[in-house]
Formats: sequence, C-alpha cells, structure tokens
Amino acid sequence: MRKELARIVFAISILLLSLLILQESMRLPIGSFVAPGSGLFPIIVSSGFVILAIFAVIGEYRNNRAPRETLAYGKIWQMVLMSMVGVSAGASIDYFGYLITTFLTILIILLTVYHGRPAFAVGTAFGVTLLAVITFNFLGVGLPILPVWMR
Amino acid sequence: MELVWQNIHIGFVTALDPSHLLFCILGAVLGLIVGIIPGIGSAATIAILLPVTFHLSTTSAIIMLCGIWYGSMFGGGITAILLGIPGQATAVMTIIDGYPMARRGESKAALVALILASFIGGLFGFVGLALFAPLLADVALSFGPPEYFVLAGIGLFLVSYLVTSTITKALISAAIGLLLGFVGLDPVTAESRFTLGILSMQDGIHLIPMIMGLFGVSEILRIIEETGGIGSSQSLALKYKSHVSNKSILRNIWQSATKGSLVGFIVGLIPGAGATIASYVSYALVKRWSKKRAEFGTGIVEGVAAPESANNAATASGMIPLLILGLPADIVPAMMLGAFAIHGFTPGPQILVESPEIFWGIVTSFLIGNIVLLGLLLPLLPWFEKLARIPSPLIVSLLLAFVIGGSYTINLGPSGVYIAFFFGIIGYLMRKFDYPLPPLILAFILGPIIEFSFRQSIIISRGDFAIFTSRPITAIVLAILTMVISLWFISRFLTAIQLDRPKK
Repeated sequence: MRKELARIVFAISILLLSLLILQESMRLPIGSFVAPGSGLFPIIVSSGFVILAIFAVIGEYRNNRAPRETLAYGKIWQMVLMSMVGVSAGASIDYFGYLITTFLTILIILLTVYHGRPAFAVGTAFGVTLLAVITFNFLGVGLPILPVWMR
Repeated sequence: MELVWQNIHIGFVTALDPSHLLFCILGAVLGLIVGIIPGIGSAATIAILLPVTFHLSTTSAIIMLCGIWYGSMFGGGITAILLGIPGQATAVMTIIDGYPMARRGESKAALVALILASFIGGLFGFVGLALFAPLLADVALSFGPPEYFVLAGIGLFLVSYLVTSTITKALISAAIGLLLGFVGLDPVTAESRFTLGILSMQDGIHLIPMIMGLFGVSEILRIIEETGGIGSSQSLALKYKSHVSNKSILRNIWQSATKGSLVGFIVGLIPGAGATIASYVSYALVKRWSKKRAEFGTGIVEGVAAPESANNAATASGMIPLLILGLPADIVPAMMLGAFAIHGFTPGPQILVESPEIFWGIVTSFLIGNIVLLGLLLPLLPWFEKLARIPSPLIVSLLLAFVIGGSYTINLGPSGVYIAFFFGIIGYLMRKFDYPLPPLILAFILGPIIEFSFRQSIIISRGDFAIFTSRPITAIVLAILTMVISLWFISRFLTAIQLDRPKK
C-alpha cells in the first residue's frame, strides 16, 4: 500500500472510531452543569475527537495531492508474525511456563524474522531467557517459570 | 536553611540505605547502558521495568526509575559523540559538536566534556530540586480543584503542542488517551462507561501493560522493520588524545555547563517541554551568549557541554511537578506516577510532611547517582563504545523477554500479555503515521484528575464557570495559555501569508 493512501485509510479509521465513541458517549447521562453526570466529560472529549479526526482526514487528503513518493512499507508479514507469536506466548505461558515460552518465542523470531543461523538463534534465545529469569527471580517477580508438569 | 540541611540529611540516610543505594546504582547503570544503545529509549526501558518495581519499596522503585532516566541522559550523549547517532532524542544537539570532535580524533575530550557537563547539570538539578520544591509545596497547599484542573489541562495541552509539529495528531492522541482513561466505573456515580458489557473492564484499562505495549512492543516492531543491525554500518576509528587534561576541559566548559544547567532546569519545569527541548533551547542560548559563538558547530567542548548539562538538569526539575503537585510534566514522570500508583502512594504537596524520607531520598539519589556515574564513566569510557554496537536481534530478544514476563505479572496473567501486544500494534501504527504517543499516556494518566477536578469545581461553584478565571493562579495560567495559543495562530497566519506571497 502506498504511504499516502495508508495515511488516509488510517485517518478515516480514526474518524470512524471517534464517531463510534461519540455514539457510545451519548448513551451516558449528561446531568446538568450544577451536577455533571458521568457522560458530560466523555461527550465533550469525544465531540472534540470527532472534529479533530475530520481535520486529520482533510489534512491527509491535502497532503495526498502533493507530489507522490514511493515508500517501502514492506515486512508487514513480519509484524503480523511477531504479533501472533506474542499472543500465542500469552496463551501458552500458564501451561508451558515462562522459560519454555520465552525461549521458543525468541527462537521463532530470530529464525524467521532475522533469518539467523540456528546455532546463533538457539544460543541467543537461551542466554536472553536465562538472563530474564535470573533478573525476575532476583527482583522477586512472581512468574510461572517452569511448565505446569514440573511445578 | 537549617531545615534544608536537616532534610538533606534525612535524604542521605534514606538514599544511602544499602537497598536504596543498590537500586540507585542499578538504575543509573541500566540507564547508562540503554542510553548508549541506540533504539531503546529510557521511556521504553522504564515501561518494561514498571512491573518489576511492584516488588520493591516505593522509594527504591522511584530511585531506580530516576536512575534509569538520568543514566540514559549520560549514555545517549556517548553514542552521539562516538557514532553520530543519538542514543536518546535528548542527545541530538550533542552530535553537532561532539561528532566532529570524534572525527578529528578528539573523542576523549568530547566524552570527558560530556561527563563533566552532565555531572554539573545533575548537581545543579539536585540543588534546584532541594531548594525550589519546598517553596512550590507551600504554594501548592492552597491549590483546590480549579487549580488542579487548569494545571493538568494546560500540561496536557503543552505536551500535545510541543511534542510534534502536527498539533491535530497530537490532540487526537490526547483525546484517545482521555477516552481510554474513562473506561471503567465513573468515580462519582459508579456507572459503567465504555466497558462494552465486559465485567473485567469495569476496573479500567491497566496502565502497565498498556505502557509496555505502546512503548516496548511498538519499539520491537520498529526495530524489526528497520533492516540491518543497529550501528553495524558505523566504523569509526577512535583515537584518544591524552594531552588534554580533565582539569583543562573543566576550565573550558564550566561556564557553558552552568548556563546550560540553568536554562535546562527552567525549561524542564515547563509541562511538556522535557529534557529534549531543554537541550535545544540551552544549545541555542549558550551559543548566543558565548564569545566563541562562531566556533559552535565545528566541534568544541562548549557545544557538547551546553545540551548535556541542560538535559540532566531538566530531568531533576521535571520531578518537581510530579512530586509536589502529582502532575507529571513529561512522559517519564507520567510513568513514575504509574509506579507510585502501583504502591498506592499519591504524590502531592503533603509529601514533604507525610513522607519526607521518600521525597528527600529521591532528591538525594540524584546527587548520589550522578556521582556514581561520574566515577564509573571516566575510567570505563573506551568500553562503552562497544555497547553501541549491540546487534538488533539481541536487543529485540531482550525486549521481548522482558515484555512477556513483565506484562504477565501484577496479577493480570495472560490477559496482560494480550493487552501489551494489542497496544503494541496500536502504538506502532500511531508512530508510523506520526501520531505521537506521549500525549496519549499523559492524557490517560491526567484524564481522571482533569475530569474529577472539573466536576468538583463545577459542583463547588454551582455551575459557575467563572471559578476557573476568578482565582489568581488559574487566571495567570489561563492567561499564559491564551498567549501561547494566540502566538501559535499568529505565527501560522504569518507563515501562510509568506507562502502565498509570489517570489520575486
């Protein structure tokens, strides 16, 4: 996706979000100026948010008419992969424990995103995980370090 | 004056307590390391380490976070001088004179100037903090809801105004932060707001995984996106000329470092200005006041001393609004407010009376941490250059390990990790499209204060909005704000006229 188009799409997404929030704010009781309700401040902020979002869309559209530049956006799949790995880490940490989860997460990232050599990736993942475990233990942070069958 | 000495004595006793001293040194060294490594900011580091502070005492936690902050100021300049890359945004101005010096083979002189100037800035900050904060505390005791509303509001506006050139996007970030702060139960009526019917959302969004995501995970994504290892293409042959003594460098820089410290301290007090703007303003002013003004930019020690002393002094003065008013003026103090909240501690003017050991312990730790860094850096300088060349896969691995572990803690479990990664993607996209993150975090933290004090003020005045203009402090602050906004509009208007005028 071209950068300028992506900017407009992002600005429009923010505008839609602001409209949704404004609609949600309208459901809250406004109260009066003598006794403001829980909705007064959210309505003020979300109304301002809508106006700002409109300005942002207009701003991006006007910038779009400037001479176009091509910008390599690339590597989006790396970010998607990273996010998925992160989320699966969250899902598995309770069962497999921090040690295995973090080791595998780092290993996957190093092997896929960085195309690292396996020996380097294993060494780095192991070293970093160990360092993190030692640090968390030293500071008394309560983490399930070991997998569930070893606790 | 005697009272100040007594308080400083309390501070020394607290800060020199072995556990506090350990975390002071740990924070300072950690800050130094992350400052040297380009790509990890002090904000990202503090974000990642916030959960860790849960298990420390309040004083140890804040002392460690302060150490990371000023330690990173020292470290950022080292990379700026040796590699021409700012380790931190606050070190951008250091490149102007520091890097040419390194290219000429005078890196040792530049680094010594940096260390001495940073120390002078830290010392100045300590003295200013010790003398100025109690005075402000006396004034702050008379603050009511209208003052808090106006000060928090202006702080948020100035952060949005100063942090970027696109004020619309900065204000959008602030609006998102405010709205995220509304999620949960209303503090007055206990009604659910923006909870989407999910019961666990009634507690609101937890600050820690959100900060870890916005700064930590988005940082990982940014590093991954950039091709190649950080600093891998740099190959600067370092030559250390030893004929310049540290004493003669100190003689050359003391004037610009003192002026830089003074400017940095004052600018650091302005909400939203922070250490980066302090270093910009300081460099410009010290250059203007200097007899050697023509030589600035060619590589002179005075040009290194001005911004480095300023950014260190600004870190100390940036603590004053946080500790005395409970209002963070910048992103790092905002995170520290989060650390205070973890410990159930609310900073404010009463801190000097109710918890003097915390306040003075933090103040004194600035001096101790700076002395530690001075003693550590001078003999170990050549070794720190190697840190700037740590490859990005290792940085990403370290960040990832600490994000997963940190966001899991504070009784959140896996949901903490999900929140962190969700906000990581949001943060990454916002950075990508130039929506600054500091206003979002600051608004999230200040939002409840702004709303609560606004509603209190309106209830007190029975709906009369004049309460915000009739009190002396709020009137002055609002007058300043009106002036700033007017100047901004005038400058925009004049620029537009100049652009429309046909070129001859």
